[in-house]
Amino acid sequence: MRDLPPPIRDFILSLTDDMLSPAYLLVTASGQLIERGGELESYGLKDLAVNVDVAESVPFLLGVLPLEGKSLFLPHVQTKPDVFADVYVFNREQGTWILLLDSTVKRARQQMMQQKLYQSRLQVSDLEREGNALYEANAVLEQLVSERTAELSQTILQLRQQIAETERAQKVRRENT
Amino acid sequence: MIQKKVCMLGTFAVGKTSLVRRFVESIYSEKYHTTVGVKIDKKVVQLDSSELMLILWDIEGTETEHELRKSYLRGAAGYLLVVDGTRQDTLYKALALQTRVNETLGPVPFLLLMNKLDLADQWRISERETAALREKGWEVIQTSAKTGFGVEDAFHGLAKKLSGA
Repeated sequence: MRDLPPPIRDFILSLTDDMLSPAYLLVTASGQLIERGGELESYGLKDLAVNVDVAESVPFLLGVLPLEGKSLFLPHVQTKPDVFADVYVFNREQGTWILLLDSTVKRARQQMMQQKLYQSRLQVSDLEREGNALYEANAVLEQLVSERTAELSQTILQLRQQIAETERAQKVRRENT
Repeated sequence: MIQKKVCMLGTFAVGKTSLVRRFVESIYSEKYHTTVGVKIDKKVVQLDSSELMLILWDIEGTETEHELRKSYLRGAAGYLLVVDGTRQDTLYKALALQTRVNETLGPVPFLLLMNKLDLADQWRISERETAALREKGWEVIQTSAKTGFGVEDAFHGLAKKLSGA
């Protein structure tokens, strides 16, 4: 970036301004707000009082401060209805900086793809469930058919025995008359 | 007022967002909208002798525990681990997720919510599996974001644990 000619750097900065609506907070290690600026209003963060615990008015910072390590990245944090920000938290000698860059459009694109993917996974899961139910129902039917076939075979056998006995009885009767 | 950060965790489409909406706004929508990133809501819970403000982090569902972004967990006082009772794999994924969260946050209070009880006829998680979790000392609550069943109990139950009551 440092090697770029000033017009290019200015253009990139202006693009950042237009597309990412940068906003920042500067807090002490214990979370007291020292300074704020940028497009805070677009994130629903206006009228933030200095020298108070920032987590009381910025819920997504609860538990984040004091920052352990050099930096922390929280992608796509909803800051107000329909507005999402990539939140970067990092320590410098002045204190802990919190930088917000608008990610609403990027997130919407990602959401659209994710939605399709997860919906197709759910459909596969539903199909598997229906398939299993059909398989189980089929097994029950096969069992039923097998039981009925056995019953019918038994009935046929009994009928044949009865016919044979009747024929035998008729033959004996004929011979006696 | 004391504020506590609570994370909603679980794989995708188990009903985390619906549970939060039911608890915070008393509404439910049948339409599924996958969460990307994190949505933050807050609600004051009245306990026996005090009030507690829950800051609810409705975190995007992931397919595996490795996809969970640890930075979202930072500073969480407790969490609700959500599974879909009609999809058995969501329980196994939740178990793996809990191990990872425990490594990150340590032993903070949590409850396991078996959601979608309104679809009880399609239930795929056995009593035996639930009993085994309870034997491990886990608190398991059946919920339905659709009907509201068990939702208040779940959030209040966790709030009580967080307040040490």
